[in-house]
Amino acid sequence: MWKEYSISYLKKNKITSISIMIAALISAMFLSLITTLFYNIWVDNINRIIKEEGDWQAKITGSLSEKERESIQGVANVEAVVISQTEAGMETLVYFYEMRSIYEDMPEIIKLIGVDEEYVQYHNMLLSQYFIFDPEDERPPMLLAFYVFVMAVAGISLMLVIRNAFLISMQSRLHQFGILQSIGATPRQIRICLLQEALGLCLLPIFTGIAGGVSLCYGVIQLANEITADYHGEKAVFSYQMELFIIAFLASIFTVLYSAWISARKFSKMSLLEIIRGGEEQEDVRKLKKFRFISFCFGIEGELARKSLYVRRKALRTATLSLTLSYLAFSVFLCFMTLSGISTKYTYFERYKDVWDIMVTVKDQKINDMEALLDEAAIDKIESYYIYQKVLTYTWLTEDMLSDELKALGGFLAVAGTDVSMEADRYQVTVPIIIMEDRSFQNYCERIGVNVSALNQGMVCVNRIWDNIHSNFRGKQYIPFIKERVNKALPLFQTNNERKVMTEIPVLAYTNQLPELREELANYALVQIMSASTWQGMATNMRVEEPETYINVQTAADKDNNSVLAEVVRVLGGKDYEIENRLEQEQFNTEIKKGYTLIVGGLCGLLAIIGLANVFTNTLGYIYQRKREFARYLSIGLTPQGIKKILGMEVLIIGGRPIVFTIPLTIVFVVFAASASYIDLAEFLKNMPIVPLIIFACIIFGSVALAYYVGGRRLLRVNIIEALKNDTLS
Amino acid sequence: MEILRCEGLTKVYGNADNQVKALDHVNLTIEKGEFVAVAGASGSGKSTLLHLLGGVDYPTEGKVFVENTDLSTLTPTSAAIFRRRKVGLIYQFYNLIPTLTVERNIMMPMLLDKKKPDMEFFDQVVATLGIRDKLNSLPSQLSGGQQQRTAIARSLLYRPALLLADEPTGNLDHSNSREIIEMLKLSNKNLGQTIIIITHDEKMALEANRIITLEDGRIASDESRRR
Ligand SMILES: Nc1ncnc2c1ncn2[C@@H]1O[C@H](COP(=O)(O)OP(=O)(O)OP(=O)(O)O)[C@@H](O)[C@H]1O
Ligand SMILES: [Mg+2]
Repeated sequence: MWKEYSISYLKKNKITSISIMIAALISAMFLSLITTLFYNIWVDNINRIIKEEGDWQAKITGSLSEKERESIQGVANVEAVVISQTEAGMETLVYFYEMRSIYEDMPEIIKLIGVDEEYVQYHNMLLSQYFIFDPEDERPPMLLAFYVFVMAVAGISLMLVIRNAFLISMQSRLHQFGILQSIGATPRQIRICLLQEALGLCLLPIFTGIAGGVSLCYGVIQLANEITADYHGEKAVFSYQMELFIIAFLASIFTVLYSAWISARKFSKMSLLEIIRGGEEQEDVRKLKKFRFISFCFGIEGELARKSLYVRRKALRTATLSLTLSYLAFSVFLCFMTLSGISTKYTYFERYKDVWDIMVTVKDQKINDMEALLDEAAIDKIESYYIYQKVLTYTWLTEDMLSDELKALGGFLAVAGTDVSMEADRYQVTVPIIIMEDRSFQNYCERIGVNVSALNQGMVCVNRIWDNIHSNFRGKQYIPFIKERVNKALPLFQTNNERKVMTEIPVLAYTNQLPELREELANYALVQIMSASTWQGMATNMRVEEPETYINVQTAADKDNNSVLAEVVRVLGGKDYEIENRLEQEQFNTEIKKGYTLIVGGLCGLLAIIGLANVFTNTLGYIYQRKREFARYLSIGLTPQGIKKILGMEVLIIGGRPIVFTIPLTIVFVVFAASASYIDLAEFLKNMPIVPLIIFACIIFGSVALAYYVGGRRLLRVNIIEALKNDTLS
Repeated sequence: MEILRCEGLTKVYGNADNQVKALDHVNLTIEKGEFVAVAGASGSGKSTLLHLLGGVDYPTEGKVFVENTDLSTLTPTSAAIFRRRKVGLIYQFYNLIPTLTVERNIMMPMLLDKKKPDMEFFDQVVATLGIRDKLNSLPSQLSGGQQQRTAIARSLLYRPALLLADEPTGNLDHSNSREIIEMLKLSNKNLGQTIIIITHDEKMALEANRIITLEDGRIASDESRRR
């Protein structure tokens, strides 16, 4: 009897059944799309990390004896110990069976063989992909957390879509079940009937949906490959695993059964009389708000619309929530991209626009040889260039060496704060040294108007420190760092092969101008510029850690970049070098940003689609059940125009709410983010992503309106008397 | 002067293989100011007739004229306005709007027309019907009889020319019924309203000046009486 009853019910209520099936299909599809997509991103990440950094999990630098290695191998959780020889020396790579306990096992191992902790490295990047984090690391990995968060939100809202579809269909059947119960059907019978119905309705859509999601994911990956084809040598490969299917399937089936079960359980909580009287509608109407404002502004129709939404507020909540979430995510993301675009423009491209065009990094070459090489090149299109190396040293400063300006600001600590380390009454200050090939050094001296008699006698001190009290990092202002005493020698320290070495080099001149180099120098450092001959003659006990020579080239005009580039490549032939090109980098940056926008925008779009699907099933599902409500209005003399007015009002409220919620939140975010990163709000307003936001808002309104239009047409054709009496078994 | 006329009015329910002829070629003319009672066994087609006269349902065959307007020619909008202004319909099921208070339910047709109700008359109606202290309640908080009286108040407030009532006293006790009948009679006399009521109650039918009896969708008898 129940099977017959179910089948006849489902047949007679095709719209409700179809809306449940669609909800199940969409949810299963997106669930499987999202899980597969994230799985693929994850696998791709791991592959990339392994390719770039190796697949080791922990490593010990320095050489270990055979015996020590054997005792590591003896630890239960250790799978393999591999020795490798790199430029930096011997390394021992350790692989574990169970990575999860690496942060406990590794300290044990080094205790066992008596190696100091600082020689141990963990492959943090790889480990964090498996959600294994250093317990001492305080900063959570933001991006991963963001992914998981998005996935969770999407998953939950998809489940809500299904649950909602069931709740709506339930509402219309409460009355029927009440009558069935009053003539003797047990709640258990009804529950089982509902669960069977749910399974019968949803199994096929779930399978189809999962398959659709997987193929959609395949398409997305192909698309991503297409986009990055020009830049990425490596193509992402599509991978799929049985576990993914099981996850998506179980999540969908569980949600379907759970939703059906929850709906069924509602009966047992209600008295029979309540059920027969129509369930929730009656219950909620008992405590109705007045909505005086709306009825004052929009008349009786406004009041009816608002109250009708109020009565259905629980079911609409998910729709509103997912719509608001998606719109919020979308607008915050767009604003974030705009802000970060403005930020990089100033900190990077704008700032280095007149500093470099081509940057060459040459490995293992003598700095003096490079000059001769460049001389060979077609120099006429090069406006200027610097050939240099970098080395990092430090020095000690006492209070009396600091400039009066710095003291006036409250001293070194007041400016640099925790960025400076102290010992007794001395400050340890980083001293980055730029060693310039002699001719470049000469050019630099001419440029800043300093007259240096002999090139190999000392260095130029860039005597400035950022006054972060009167300026922020976007518009740094500088004051003198130390008292200027010409020809006084500055002691420089370096740790060389565990040995501390010191050299004293005289300061020939002081300046407040850095050479135009694409270098990001430490904030509270005392930068020194010296010639290669000074370095070679006076700092023989120090060494350049990275034996790399940089050539910072500025071309005469952007259009010359390519010919200069070709020329540089020609003269460097056969050497180990890397070339960066500002214009190309800028272009690459824009491309990357585009791709990034596409992916995250797509993600937000996905959320929006879920939200819209929710609104659609919700409104459509409800409208079919609101025949009686509207028949009542019609019977009392509300005109079809009046009905349209009510429906229009509801569209405004449902579609408008996410937007109204989003606007202030986005404003708060923008104001907060802009002030945190010192970006001018006016600048943001000029670049505001207003068009996509409006388009998105219109799409929201459009789809709500469409759902109402489809459902509303049917409402207007209703037979009043049929609808008014329509609560018999149908 | 005639206010209402129907010709060959027929209503068939159901589909081809399961037909119910609720009304079968009914011809009827009602004069302005008449007080008509419709009687008949359950299922004889009384409610169906009333719904057709009130313009909330459409006949399968035949025509209804109210003040010489053919209801079938009305657009949905003018049909709605007709229902709002010309007829007051009291349904067998009360048909109140669950989200509006009793007061707003009663005023609803007026509000739809953006008219201010005559407060004196409103007071008089709710006082007579004994629902004055329920004005701020919601329909679900009322008893069946109170809901019925709210529905009656709603149809009276607009003072429509034609008042159609489907067993308006079906849920009321004797003295309540009495009062409502008095009220209807009063407005029939004072406002010249034409009233058609369906009733099973012999005594009530006797208050009317014309009694129509239906049998299987046909008029079995139609007698006018002097009061
Ligand atoms: N929606 C419908 N579908 C099918 N048949 C219907 C429908 N509404 C009414 N009928 C049938 O039409 C006939 C007349 O019904 P109607 O409601 O007019 O009777 P009634 O005289 O008002 O009865 P009662 O005194 O019990 O209210 C009945 O036989 C009924 O079964
Ligand atoms: Mg009836």
